[in-house]
Amino acid sequence: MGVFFYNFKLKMKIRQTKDTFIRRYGNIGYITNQLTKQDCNYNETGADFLEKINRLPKDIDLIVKELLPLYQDITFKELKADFIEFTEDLEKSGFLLSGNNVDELNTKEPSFSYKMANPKTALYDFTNPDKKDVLTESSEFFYEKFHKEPTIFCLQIEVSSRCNERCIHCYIPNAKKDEGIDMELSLILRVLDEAKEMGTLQVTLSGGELFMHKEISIILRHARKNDFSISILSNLTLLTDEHIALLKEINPSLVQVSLYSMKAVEHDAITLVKGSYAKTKNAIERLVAADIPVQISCPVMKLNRKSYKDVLVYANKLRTKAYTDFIMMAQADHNTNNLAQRINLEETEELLKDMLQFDYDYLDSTLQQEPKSRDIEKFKKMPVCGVGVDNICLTANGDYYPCAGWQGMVLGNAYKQSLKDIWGNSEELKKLRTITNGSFPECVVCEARDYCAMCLVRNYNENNGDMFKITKHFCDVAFLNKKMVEDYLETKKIK
Amino acid sequence: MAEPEKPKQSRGIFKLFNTAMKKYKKAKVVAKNNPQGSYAAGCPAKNTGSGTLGQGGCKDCDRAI
Repeated sequence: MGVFFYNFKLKMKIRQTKDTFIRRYGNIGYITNQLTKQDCNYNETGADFLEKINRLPKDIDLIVKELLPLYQDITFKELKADFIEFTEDLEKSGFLLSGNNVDELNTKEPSFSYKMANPKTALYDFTNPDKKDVLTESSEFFYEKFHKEPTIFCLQIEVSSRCNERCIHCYIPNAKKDEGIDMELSLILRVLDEAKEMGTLQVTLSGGELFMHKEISIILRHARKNDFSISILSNLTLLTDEHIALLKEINPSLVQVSLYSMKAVEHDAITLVKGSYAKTKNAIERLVAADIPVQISCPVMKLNRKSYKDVLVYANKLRTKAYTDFIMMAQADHNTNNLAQRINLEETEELLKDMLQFDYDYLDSTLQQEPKSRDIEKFKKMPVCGVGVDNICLTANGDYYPCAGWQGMVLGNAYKQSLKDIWGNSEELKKLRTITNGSFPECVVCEARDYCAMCLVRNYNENNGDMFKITKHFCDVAFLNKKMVEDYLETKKIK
Repeated sequence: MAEPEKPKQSRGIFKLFNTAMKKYKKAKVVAKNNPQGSYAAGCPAKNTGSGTLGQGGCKDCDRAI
Protein backbone atom coordinates (compact mmCIF):
# COMPACT_ATOMS: atom_id res chain seq x y z
CA MET A 1 0.00 0.00 0.00
CA GLY A 2 2.95 2.27 0.76
CA VAL A 3 4.18 1.88 -2.80
CA PHE A 4 0.76 2.76 -4.19
CA PHE A 5 0.55 5.77 -1.99
CA TYR A 6 4.01 6.90 -3.07
CA ASN A 7 3.12 6.61 -6.74
CA PHE A 8 -0.28 8.12 -6.17
CA LYS A 9 1.45 11.15 -4.73
CA LEU A 10 4.13 11.49 -7.36
CA LYS A 11 3.05 9.94 -10.63
CA MET A 12 -0.21 11.39 -11.71
CA LYS A 13 -0.18 10.85 -15.47
CA ILE A 14 -0.02 7.71 -17.59
CA ARG A 15 -0.04 6.84 -21.27
CA GLN A 16 0.74 3.80 -23.40
CA THR A 17 4.16 3.66 -25.09
CA LYS A 18 4.32 4.30 -28.82
CA ASP A 19 4.86 0.56 -29.42
CA THR A 20 1.90 -0.52 -27.29
CA PHE A 21 -1.49 -1.31 -28.81
CA ILE A 22 -4.77 -1.80 -26.97
CA ARG A 23 -7.90 -3.50 -28.23
CA ARG A 24 -11.16 -4.68 -26.70
CA TYR A 25 -12.70 -7.91 -27.95
CA GLY A 26 -16.07 -8.17 -26.19
CA ASN A 27 -15.34 -8.60 -22.50
CA ILE A 28 -11.65 -9.14 -23.07
CA GLY A 29 -9.05 -6.40 -22.99
CA TYR A 30 -5.93 -6.99 -25.05
CA ILE A 31 -2.64 -5.14 -24.76
CA THR A 32 0.42 -5.91 -26.84
CA ASN A 33 3.77 -4.30 -27.50
CA GLN A 34 5.49 -4.49 -30.88
CA LEU A 35 8.87 -3.64 -29.34
CA THR A 36 9.01 -6.29 -26.59
CA LYS A 37 6.56 -8.63 -28.34
CA GLN A 38 4.84 -9.31 -25.03
CA ASP A 39 1.07 -9.36 -24.71
CA CYS A 40 -1.66 -9.78 -22.11
CA ASN A 41 -5.35 -10.57 -22.15
CA TYR A 42 -7.44 -9.22 -19.28
CA ASN A 43 -10.87 -9.93 -17.86
CA GLU A 44 -13.74 -7.43 -18.22
CA THR A 45 -12.50 -5.04 -15.53
CA GLY A 46 -9.07 -5.07 -17.16
CA ALA A 47 -10.79 -4.34 -20.47
CA ASP A 48 -12.60 -1.37 -18.87
CA PHE A 49 -9.31 -0.10 -17.44
CA LEU A 50 -7.43 -0.50 -20.72
CA GLU A 51 -10.15 1.33 -22.62
CA LYS A 52 -9.43 4.45 -20.62
CA ILE A 53 -5.72 4.43 -21.42
CA ASN A 54 -4.47 5.91 -24.67
CA ARG A 55 -1.54 7.63 -26.38
CA LEU A 56 -2.18 11.00 -24.74
CA PRO A 57 -1.05 11.47 -21.14
CA LYS A 58 -4.04 11.16 -18.89
CA ASP A 59 -4.49 12.02 -15.25
CA ILE A 60 -5.01 8.91 -13.09
CA ASP A 61 -7.64 10.63 -10.96
CA LEU A 62 -9.57 11.54 -14.09
CA ILE A 63 -9.48 7.95 -15.37
CA VAL A 64 -10.68 6.55 -12.04
CA LYS A 65 -13.44 9.16 -11.98
CA GLU A 66 -14.55 7.98 -15.44
CA LEU A 67 -14.43 4.32 -14.35
CA LEU A 68 -16.29 4.72 -11.06
CA PRO A 69 -19.86 4.89 -12.47
CA LEU A 70 -19.33 1.50 -14.15
CA TYR A 71 -19.31 -0.43 -10.85
CA GLN A 72 -21.85 -0.92 -8.09
CA ASP A 73 -19.76 -1.74 -5.09
CA ILE A 74 -16.45 0.03 -4.88
CA THR A 75 -15.30 3.40 -3.59
CA PHE A 76 -13.14 5.88 -5.45
CA LYS A 77 -10.24 5.20 -3.11
CA GLU A 78 -10.42 1.40 -3.54
CA LEU A 79 -10.78 1.65 -7.29
CA LYS A 80 -7.87 4.04 -7.52
CA ALA A 81 -5.64 1.66 -5.53
CA ASP A 82 -6.59 -1.22 -7.84
CA PHE A 83 -6.11 0.89 -10.94
CA ILE A 84 -2.66 2.01 -9.82
CA GLU A 85 -1.68 -1.58 -9.08
CA PHE A 86 -2.91 -2.55 -12.56
CA THR A 87 -0.95 0.21 -14.29
CA GLU A 88 2.19 -0.49 -12.25
CA ASP A 89 2.20 -4.08 -13.53
CA LEU A 90 1.79 -2.84 -17.08
CA GLU A 91 4.52 -0.25 -16.63
CA LYS A 92 6.92 -2.90 -15.32
CA SER A 93 6.23 -4.98 -18.44
CA GLY A 94 6.95 -2.02 -20.72
CA PHE A 95 3.40 -1.33 -21.91
CA LEU A 96 2.81 1.98 -20.13
CA LEU A 97 4.67 5.07 -18.96
CA SER A 98 3.89 7.08 -15.86
CA GLY A 99 5.16 10.45 -14.72
CA ASN A 100 4.34 13.86 -13.38
CA ASN A 101 4.26 15.67 -16.69
CA VAL A 102 4.43 15.22 -20.45
CA ASP A 103 8.19 15.83 -20.65
CA GLU A 104 8.91 13.14 -18.07
CA LEU A 105 6.79 10.65 -20.02
CA ASN A 106 8.51 11.55 -23.29
CA THR A 107 11.97 11.11 -21.74
CA LYS A 108 11.03 7.59 -20.64
CA GLU A 109 9.73 6.54 -24.08
CA PRO A 110 11.72 3.50 -25.33
CA SER A 111 12.54 3.11 -29.02
CA PHE A 112 13.75 0.21 -31.09
CA SER A 113 17.49 0.09 -31.67
CA TYR A 114 19.83 -2.56 -33.02
CA LYS A 115 22.22 -1.48 -30.27
CA MET A 116 19.86 -2.51 -27.45
CA ALA A 117 20.71 -5.65 -25.46
CA ASN A 118 18.26 -7.99 -27.18
CA PRO A 119 16.73 -6.32 -30.22
CA LYS A 120 13.51 -8.01 -31.26
CA THR A 121 14.94 -8.48 -34.74
CA ALA A 122 17.54 -10.90 -33.36
CA LEU A 123 15.37 -12.74 -30.83
CA TYR A 124 13.58 -16.01 -31.45
CA ASP A 125 12.00 -16.59 -28.09
CA PHE A 126 9.49 -14.17 -26.61
CA THR A 127 8.32 -16.38 -23.76
CA ASN A 128 6.76 -14.26 -21.08
CA PRO A 129 9.03 -14.15 -18.04
CA ASP A 130 6.30 -15.04 -15.53
CA LYS A 131 4.74 -17.78 -17.63
CA LYS A 132 4.32 -20.07 -14.64
CA ASP A 133 1.78 -17.69 -13.10
CA VAL A 134 -0.51 -17.73 -16.10
CA LEU A 135 -2.68 -20.67 -16.96
CA THR A 136 -3.33 -19.86 -20.59
CA GLU A 137 -1.18 -18.66 -23.46
CA SER A 138 -2.50 -15.91 -25.72
CA SER A 139 -2.44 -18.09 -28.81
CA GLU A 140 -4.55 -20.76 -27.13
CA PHE A 141 -6.88 -18.13 -25.75
CA PHE A 142 -7.34 -16.48 -29.15
CA TYR A 143 -7.70 -19.84 -30.81
CA GLU A 144 -10.73 -20.57 -28.61
CA LYS A 145 -12.13 -17.06 -28.92
CA PHE A 146 -11.65 -16.36 -32.62
CA HIS A 147 -12.76 -19.83 -33.63
CA LYS A 148 -16.13 -19.06 -32.01
CA GLU A 149 -16.20 -15.41 -33.07
CA PRO A 150 -14.06 -14.90 -36.19
CA THR A 151 -12.31 -11.53 -35.88
CA ILE A 152 -10.05 -9.78 -38.39
CA PHE A 153 -6.93 -9.53 -36.28
CA CYS A 154 -4.66 -9.17 -39.36
CA LEU A 155 -5.45 -7.43 -42.63
CA GLN A 156 -3.05 -7.56 -45.56
CA ILE A 157 -3.45 -4.98 -48.31
CA GLU A 158 -1.64 -5.27 -51.62
CA VAL A 159 -1.68 -1.55 -52.35
CA SER A 160 -0.30 -1.96 -55.86
CA SER A 161 -0.20 -4.91 -58.24
CA ARG A 162 2.65 -3.23 -60.11
CA CYS A 163 6.09 -4.63 -59.37
CA ASN A 164 9.52 -3.64 -60.63
CA GLU A 165 10.87 -7.18 -60.23
CA ARG A 166 9.83 -10.46 -61.87
CA CYS A 167 10.98 -13.02 -59.31
CA ILE A 168 11.04 -16.45 -60.89
CA HIS A 169 9.39 -18.20 -57.93
CA CYS A 170 6.63 -15.62 -57.23
CA TYR A 171 3.10 -16.97 -56.76
CA ILE A 172 1.59 -13.86 -58.33
CA PRO A 173 1.38 -14.42 -62.12
CA ASN A 174 3.46 -11.99 -64.20
CA ALA A 175 0.39 -11.05 -66.25
CA LYS A 176 -1.07 -9.43 -63.14
CA LYS A 177 2.10 -7.37 -62.64
CA ASP A 178 2.30 -6.48 -66.35
CA GLU A 179 -1.19 -4.98 -66.20
CA GLY A 180 -0.52 -3.67 -62.70
CA ILE A 181 -2.61 -0.98 -61.07
CA ASP A 182 -2.40 1.06 -57.89
CA MET A 183 -5.34 0.66 -55.56
CA GLU A 184 -7.43 3.83 -55.43
CA LEU A 185 -6.44 5.90 -52.43
CA SER A 186 -10.05 6.51 -51.34
CA LEU A 187 -10.68 2.76 -51.27
CA ILE A 188 -7.59 2.01 -49.17
CA LEU A 189 -8.48 4.73 -46.68
CA ARG A 190 -12.05 3.49 -46.43
CA VAL A 191 -10.95 -0.13 -45.83
CA LEU A 192 -8.44 1.00 -43.20
CA ASP A 193 -11.28 2.84 -41.46
CA GLU A 194 -13.52 -0.23 -41.67
CA ALA A 195 -10.74 -2.41 -40.22
CA LYS A 196 -10.23 0.02 -37.36
CA GLU A 197 -13.94 -0.12 -36.61
CA MET A 198 -13.76 -3.95 -36.55
CA GLY A 199 -10.87 -4.04 -34.05
CA THR A 200 -8.10 -5.10 -36.43
CA LEU A 201 -4.68 -4.88 -34.83
CA GLN A 202 -2.13 -5.77 -37.48
CA VAL A 203 -2.05 -4.33 -40.98
CA THR A 204 0.45 -5.67 -43.49
CA LEU A 205 1.02 -3.46 -46.52
CA SER A 206 2.53 -5.10 -49.57
CA GLY A 207 2.35 -5.32 -53.36
CA GLY A 208 3.42 -5.91 -56.08
CA GLU A 209 5.91 -3.40 -54.86
CA LEU A 210 4.52 -1.20 -52.12
CA PHE A 211 6.72 1.82 -52.86
CA MET A 212 5.42 1.96 -56.46
CA HIS A 213 2.14 3.35 -55.11
CA LYS A 214 2.29 7.08 -55.70
CA GLU A 215 0.37 7.90 -52.53
CA ILE A 216 2.15 5.52 -50.19
CA SER A 217 2.96 8.29 -47.70
CA ILE A 218 -0.75 9.11 -47.27
CA ILE A 219 -1.57 5.41 -46.89
CA LEU A 220 1.10 4.79 -44.25
CA ARG A 221 0.17 7.90 -42.29
CA HIS A 222 -3.50 6.91 -42.35
CA ALA A 223 -2.62 3.42 -41.08
CA ARG A 224 -0.66 5.05 -38.26
CA LYS A 225 -3.53 7.45 -37.50
CA ASN A 226 -5.84 4.44 -37.21
CA ASP A 227 -3.50 2.92 -34.61
CA PHE A 228 -2.51 -0.31 -36.35
CA SER A 229 0.63 -2.30 -35.76
CA ILE A 230 2.04 -1.96 -39.28
CA SER A 231 4.18 -4.48 -41.17
CA ILE A 232 5.63 -3.75 -44.59
CA LEU A 233 6.66 -6.21 -47.28
CA SER A 234 8.88 -4.66 -49.96
CA ASN A 235 11.89 -5.39 -52.15
CA LEU A 236 13.19 -1.95 -51.02
CA THR A 237 14.80 -1.19 -54.40
CA LEU A 238 12.93 2.13 -54.59
CA LEU A 239 13.63 3.18 -51.01
CA THR A 240 14.55 6.87 -50.74
CA ASP A 241 15.71 8.94 -47.77
CA GLU A 242 12.19 10.42 -47.68
CA HIS A 243 10.79 6.90 -47.31
CA ILE A 244 13.17 6.23 -44.42
CA ALA A 245 12.02 9.43 -42.70
CA LEU A 246 8.42 8.36 -43.31
CA LEU A 247 9.07 4.92 -41.83
CA LYS A 248 10.66 6.50 -38.75
CA GLU A 249 7.53 8.61 -38.40
CA ILE A 250 5.02 5.78 -38.71
CA ASN A 251 7.07 3.36 -36.54
CA PRO A 252 6.39 0.02 -38.26
CA SER A 253 6.55 -3.22 -36.36
CA LEU A 254 8.61 -4.75 -39.13
CA VAL A 255 9.88 -4.23 -42.66
CA GLN A 256 10.23 -7.58 -44.39
CA VAL A 257 12.44 -7.85 -47.47
CA SER A 258 13.56 -10.71 -49.69
CA LEU A 259 17.28 -11.18 -50.15
CA TYR A 260 18.07 -14.34 -52.09
CA SER A 261 21.83 -14.53 -51.94
CA MET A 262 24.97 -12.64 -51.03
CA LYS A 263 26.07 -12.96 -54.64
CA ALA A 264 24.70 -10.22 -56.88
CA VAL A 265 24.54 -12.48 -59.89
CA GLU A 266 22.40 -15.05 -58.06
CA HIS A 267 20.00 -12.54 -56.51
CA ASP A 268 19.58 -10.69 -59.80
CA ALA A 269 18.98 -13.96 -61.65
CA ILE A 270 16.01 -14.59 -59.35
CA THR A 271 14.52 -11.07 -59.53
CA LEU A 272 15.37 -10.83 -63.26
CA VAL A 273 16.47 -7.25 -62.60
CA LYS A 274 20.14 -6.41 -62.97
CA GLY A 275 21.36 -4.24 -60.11
CA SER A 276 18.51 -5.25 -57.77
CA TYR A 277 20.89 -6.97 -55.32
CA ALA A 278 22.96 -3.83 -54.79
CA LYS A 279 19.83 -1.70 -54.28
CA THR A 280 18.15 -4.12 -51.86
CA LYS A 281 21.30 -4.73 -49.80
CA ASN A 282 22.04 -1.01 -49.63
CA ALA A 283 18.47 -0.28 -48.54
CA ILE A 284 18.60 -2.96 -45.81
CA GLU A 285 21.75 -1.39 -44.41
CA ARG A 286 20.25 2.11 -44.51
CA LEU A 287 17.19 0.88 -42.62
CA VAL A 288 19.41 -0.82 -40.04
CA ALA A 289 21.46 2.39 -39.68
CA ALA A 290 18.18 4.26 -39.09
CA ASP A 291 17.13 1.71 -36.43
CA ILE A 292 14.08 0.54 -38.38
CA PRO A 293 13.35 -3.15 -37.69
CA VAL A 294 14.10 -5.32 -40.72
CA GLN A 295 13.56 -9.01 -41.27
CA ILE A 296 15.04 -10.86 -44.22
CA SER A 297 13.17 -13.54 -46.13
CA CYS A 298 15.30 -15.86 -48.19
CA PRO A 299 13.15 -18.33 -50.10
CA VAL A 300 15.45 -21.12 -51.21
CA MET A 301 15.22 -22.55 -54.71
CA LYS A 302 17.57 -24.35 -57.09
CA LEU A 303 19.34 -21.17 -58.10
CA ASN A 304 20.32 -20.06 -54.59
CA ARG A 305 20.17 -23.31 -52.64
CA LYS A 306 23.74 -23.06 -51.39
CA SER A 307 23.47 -19.40 -50.42
CA TYR A 308 20.99 -19.39 -47.52
CA LYS A 309 23.74 -19.86 -44.94
CA ASP A 310 25.56 -16.75 -46.24
CA VAL A 311 22.35 -14.73 -45.98
CA LEU A 312 21.91 -16.05 -42.42
CA VAL A 313 25.42 -14.96 -41.47
CA TYR A 314 24.83 -11.53 -43.04
CA ALA A 315 21.52 -11.16 -41.17
CA ASN A 316 23.10 -12.15 -37.88
CA LYS A 317 25.86 -9.57 -38.36
CA LEU A 318 23.17 -6.92 -38.76
CA ARG A 319 21.44 -8.26 -35.61
CA THR A 320 18.41 -9.37 -37.54
CA LYS A 321 16.98 -12.70 -38.69
CA ALA A 322 16.67 -14.47 -41.99
CA TYR A 323 13.83 -16.89 -42.55
CA THR A 324 13.56 -19.31 -45.39
CA ASP A 325 10.89 -21.26 -47.21
CA PHE A 326 12.07 -24.05 -49.45
CA ILE A 327 8.72 -25.61 -50.33
CA MET A 328 7.47 -22.80 -52.61
CA MET A 329 3.93 -22.09 -53.70
CA ALA A 330 2.55 -22.61 -57.21
CA GLN A 331 1.14 -19.56 -58.97
CA ALA A 332 -2.29 -18.35 -57.96
CA ASP A 333 -3.61 -19.15 -61.48
CA HIS A 334 -2.57 -22.84 -60.94
CA ASN A 335 0.34 -22.50 -63.35
CA THR A 336 3.13 -24.62 -61.83
CA ASN A 337 6.00 -23.47 -64.06
CA ASN A 338 7.58 -21.57 -61.16
CA LEU A 339 7.93 -24.87 -59.27
CA ALA A 340 10.66 -25.92 -61.69
CA GLN A 341 12.82 -23.97 -59.24
CA ARG A 342 11.68 -26.04 -56.23
CA ILE A 343 14.55 -27.96 -54.62
CA ASN A 344 14.22 -31.75 -54.57
CA LEU A 345 14.45 -33.93 -51.46
CA GLU A 346 18.20 -34.47 -51.67
CA GLU A 347 18.76 -30.75 -52.01
CA THR A 348 16.34 -30.12 -49.13
CA GLU A 349 18.34 -32.50 -46.92
CA GLU A 350 21.52 -30.65 -47.80
CA LEU A 351 19.87 -27.33 -46.91
CA LEU A 352 18.59 -28.68 -43.60
CA LYS A 353 22.08 -29.88 -42.72
CA ASP A 354 23.33 -26.34 -43.38
CA MET A 355 20.60 -25.01 -41.12
CA LEU A 356 21.55 -27.41 -38.35
CA GLN A 357 25.09 -26.14 -38.62
CA PHE A 358 24.46 -22.43 -38.99
CA ASP A 359 21.14 -21.73 -37.31
CA TYR A 360 21.57 -22.90 -33.70
CA ASP A 361 19.17 -20.41 -32.17
CA TYR A 362 16.46 -21.49 -34.51
CA LEU A 363 17.13 -25.15 -33.99
CA ASP A 364 17.12 -24.96 -30.20
CA SER A 365 13.89 -23.00 -30.11
CA THR A 366 12.34 -25.44 -32.57
CA LEU A 367 13.32 -28.49 -30.59
CA GLN A 368 12.11 -27.06 -27.31
CA GLN A 369 8.53 -26.81 -28.49
CA GLU A 370 5.82 -29.23 -27.59
CA PRO A 371 4.40 -31.36 -30.39
CA LYS A 372 1.29 -29.80 -31.91
CA SER A 373 -0.68 -33.00 -31.81
CA ARG A 374 -0.03 -34.35 -28.31
CA ASP A 375 -3.80 -34.21 -27.71
CA ILE A 376 -5.01 -35.86 -30.89
CA GLU A 377 -8.70 -35.06 -30.38
CA LYS A 378 -7.87 -31.39 -29.91
CA PHE A 379 -5.54 -31.49 -32.91
CA LYS A 380 -8.38 -32.83 -35.07
CA LYS A 381 -10.62 -29.93 -34.09
CA MET A 382 -8.02 -27.23 -34.70
CA PRO A 383 -8.15 -25.14 -37.87
CA VAL A 384 -5.27 -25.71 -40.27
CA CYS A 385 -4.41 -22.01 -40.28
CA GLY A 386 -5.95 -18.59 -39.74
CA VAL A 387 -7.86 -18.22 -43.02
CA GLY A 388 -11.42 -17.21 -42.32
CA VAL A 389 -10.70 -17.07 -38.60
CA ASP A 390 -8.53 -14.04 -37.99
CA ASN A 391 -7.10 -12.69 -41.24
CA ILE A 392 -8.00 -11.59 -44.74
CA CYS A 393 -6.25 -10.05 -47.75
CA LEU A 394 -7.28 -7.22 -50.10
CA THR A 395 -5.65 -6.68 -53.49
CA ALA A 396 -5.28 -3.63 -55.72
CA ASN A 397 -8.46 -4.19 -57.79
CA GLY A 398 -10.59 -4.41 -54.63
CA ASP A 399 -10.88 -8.21 -54.52
CA TYR A 400 -10.69 -9.84 -51.11
CA TYR A 401 -8.90 -13.20 -50.73
CA PRO A 402 -8.60 -15.57 -47.75
CA CYS A 403 -4.82 -14.95 -47.68
CA ALA A 404 -2.15 -13.35 -49.85
CA GLY A 405 -1.36 -16.45 -51.90
CA TRP A 406 -4.99 -17.44 -52.39
CA GLN A 407 -5.78 -15.18 -55.31
CA GLY A 408 -7.81 -17.85 -57.04
CA MET A 409 -10.60 -17.57 -54.45
CA VAL A 410 -12.38 -14.22 -54.56
CA LEU A 411 -14.48 -13.60 -51.44
CA GLY A 412 -15.99 -10.32 -52.61
CA ASN A 413 -15.01 -6.88 -53.83
CA ALA A 414 -14.40 -3.79 -51.73
CA TYR A 415 -16.00 -1.53 -54.36
CA LYS A 416 -19.30 -3.34 -53.89
CA GLN A 417 -19.23 -4.58 -50.30
CA SER A 418 -17.95 -3.50 -46.93
CA LEU A 419 -15.27 -5.51 -45.13
CA LYS A 420 -17.83 -6.35 -42.42
CA ASP A 421 -20.26 -7.66 -45.00
CA ILE A 422 -17.65 -9.89 -46.65
CA TRP A 423 -16.28 -11.16 -43.33
CA GLY A 424 -19.76 -11.96 -42.04
CA ASN A 425 -21.48 -13.23 -45.17
CA SER A 426 -19.00 -14.72 -47.64
CA GLU A 427 -20.04 -18.32 -48.38
CA GLU A 428 -16.42 -19.22 -49.16
CA LEU A 429 -15.29 -17.98 -45.75
CA LYS A 430 -18.08 -19.92 -44.06
CA LYS A 431 -16.84 -23.09 -45.77
CA LEU A 432 -13.19 -22.37 -44.90
CA ARG A 433 -14.17 -21.98 -41.24
CA THR A 434 -15.37 -25.58 -41.14
CA ILE A 435 -11.99 -26.97 -42.22
CA THR A 436 -9.86 -28.44 -39.45
CA ASN A 437 -6.91 -30.82 -39.23
CA GLY A 438 -9.59 -33.52 -38.96
CA SER A 439 -10.61 -32.70 -42.56
CA PHE A 440 -7.37 -34.45 -43.55
CA PRO A 441 -7.77 -37.97 -42.08
CA GLU A 442 -4.47 -39.15 -43.59
CA CYS A 443 -2.67 -36.31 -41.74
CA VAL A 444 -4.28 -37.17 -38.39
CA VAL A 445 -2.74 -40.66 -38.45
CA CYS A 446 0.53 -39.57 -40.10
CA GLU A 447 3.68 -40.18 -38.05
CA ALA A 448 5.22 -36.99 -39.42
CA ARG A 449 2.27 -34.72 -38.56
CA ASP A 450 4.34 -32.72 -36.07
CA TYR A 451 6.96 -32.03 -38.69
CA CYS A 452 4.62 -30.83 -41.40
CA ALA A 453 3.53 -27.37 -42.47
CA MET A 454 0.54 -28.38 -44.56
CA CYS A 455 -1.03 -25.35 -46.19
CA LEU A 456 -4.47 -25.12 -47.80
CA VAL A 457 -3.46 -22.54 -50.38
CA ARG A 458 -0.35 -24.45 -51.40
CA ASN A 459 -2.59 -27.47 -52.01
CA TYR A 460 -5.11 -25.29 -53.85
CA ASN A 461 -2.66 -23.51 -56.14
CA GLU A 462 -0.71 -26.63 -57.01
CA ASN A 463 -3.70 -28.91 -57.61
CA ASN A 464 -6.02 -26.91 -59.83
CA GLY A 465 -8.05 -25.49 -56.99
CA ASP A 466 -8.32 -28.63 -54.82
CA MET A 467 -7.36 -27.54 -51.31
CA PHE A 468 -7.85 -31.06 -49.95
CA LYS A 469 -5.39 -32.72 -52.30
CA ILE A 470 -2.02 -32.90 -50.55
CA THR A 471 1.00 -32.77 -52.79
CA LYS A 472 3.35 -35.71 -52.14
CA HIS A 473 6.34 -33.39 -51.93
CA PHE A 474 4.92 -31.80 -48.73
CA CYS A 475 4.64 -35.26 -47.12
CA ASP A 476 8.14 -36.24 -48.22
CA VAL A 477 9.54 -33.03 -46.70
CA ALA A 478 7.62 -33.69 -43.45
CA PHE A 479 9.18 -37.16 -43.14
CA LEU A 480 12.59 -35.71 -43.96
CA ASN A 481 12.11 -33.07 -41.24
CA LYS A 482 11.21 -35.82 -38.78
CA LYS A 483 14.28 -37.86 -39.66
CA MET A 484 16.58 -34.83 -39.42
CA VAL A 485 15.27 -33.79 -36.01
CA GLU A 486 15.41 -37.33 -34.64
CA ASP A 487 18.95 -37.85 -35.98
CA TYR A 488 20.00 -34.54 -34.47
CA LEU A 489 18.56 -35.46 -31.07
CA GLU A 490 20.27 -38.86 -31.25
CA THR A 491 23.62 -37.21 -32.01
CA LYS A 492 23.12 -34.86 -29.08
CA LYS A 493 22.43 -37.85 -26.79
CA ILE A 494 25.60 -39.65 -27.94
CA LYS A 495 27.66 -36.52 -27.27
CA MET B 1 -8.64 16.57 -5.05
CA ALA B 2 -11.85 15.76 -3.23
CA GLU B 3 -13.08 12.18 -3.63
CA PRO B 4 -15.88 12.09 -6.23
CA GLU B 5 -19.24 11.06 -4.93
CA LYS B 6 -20.36 7.58 -5.93
CA PRO B 7 -23.46 7.71 -8.19
CA LYS B 8 -26.49 6.66 -6.18
CA GLN B 9 -27.81 3.17 -6.85
CA SER B 10 -31.49 2.66 -7.59
CA ARG B 11 -33.58 0.73 -5.10
CA GLY B 12 -36.38 -1.84 -5.39
CA ILE B 13 -37.97 -2.15 -8.81
CA PHE B 14 -35.82 0.72 -10.11
CA LYS B 15 -32.78 -1.54 -9.67
CA LEU B 16 -33.93 -3.28 -12.87
CA PHE B 17 -33.13 -0.14 -14.81
CA ASN B 18 -29.73 0.13 -13.23
CA THR B 19 -28.12 -2.02 -15.94
CA ALA B 20 -25.14 0.25 -16.62
CA MET B 21 -23.48 -0.54 -13.30
CA LYS B 22 -21.91 -3.92 -12.78
CA LYS B 23 -20.44 -5.90 -9.93
CA TYR B 24 -16.80 -5.02 -9.46
CA LYS B 25 -14.22 -7.76 -9.92
CA LYS B 26 -10.54 -7.05 -9.70
CA ALA B 27 -8.72 -6.78 -13.06
CA LYS B 28 -7.02 -10.07 -13.82
CA VAL B 29 -4.74 -11.46 -16.53
CA VAL B 30 -6.46 -14.33 -18.32
CA ALA B 31 -3.74 -15.14 -20.89
CA LYS B 32 -0.21 -14.14 -21.85
CA ASN B 33 2.07 -14.54 -24.81
CA ASN B 34 3.78 -17.79 -25.69
CA PRO B 35 7.11 -18.13 -27.46
CA GLN B 36 7.80 -17.14 -31.04
CA GLY B 37 5.47 -16.12 -33.80
CA SER B 38 2.02 -16.63 -32.43
CA TYR B 39 2.65 -14.65 -29.26
CA ALA B 40 0.61 -11.69 -30.39
CA ALA B 41 -0.87 -12.81 -33.64
CA GLY B 42 -2.96 -15.34 -31.77
CA CYS B 43 -2.55 -17.67 -34.69
CA PRO B 44 -5.63 -19.91 -34.42
CA ALA B 45 -3.67 -22.88 -35.64
CA LYS B 46 -1.48 -22.44 -32.57
CA ASN B 47 1.26 -23.52 -34.86
CA THR B 48 4.61 -22.24 -33.76
CA GLY B 49 6.45 -24.32 -36.28
CA SER B 50 6.93 -27.18 -33.86
CA GLY B 51 9.70 -29.36 -35.21
CA THR B 52 9.13 -27.91 -38.64
CA LEU B 53 12.68 -27.38 -39.77
CA GLY B 54 12.97 -24.71 -42.36
CA GLN B 55 9.88 -22.85 -41.28
CA GLY B 56 11.80 -20.56 -38.93
CA GLY B 57 9.46 -20.22 -35.98
CA CYS B 58 5.92 -19.56 -37.13
CA LYS B 59 6.35 -19.14 -40.85
CA ASP B 60 3.86 -21.75 -41.84
CA CYS B 61 2.01 -19.07 -43.72
CA ASP B 62 3.10 -15.86 -45.42
CA ARG B 63 1.74 -13.58 -42.78
CA ALA B 64 4.28 -11.08 -41.52
CA ILE B 65 5.05 -11.46 -37.84
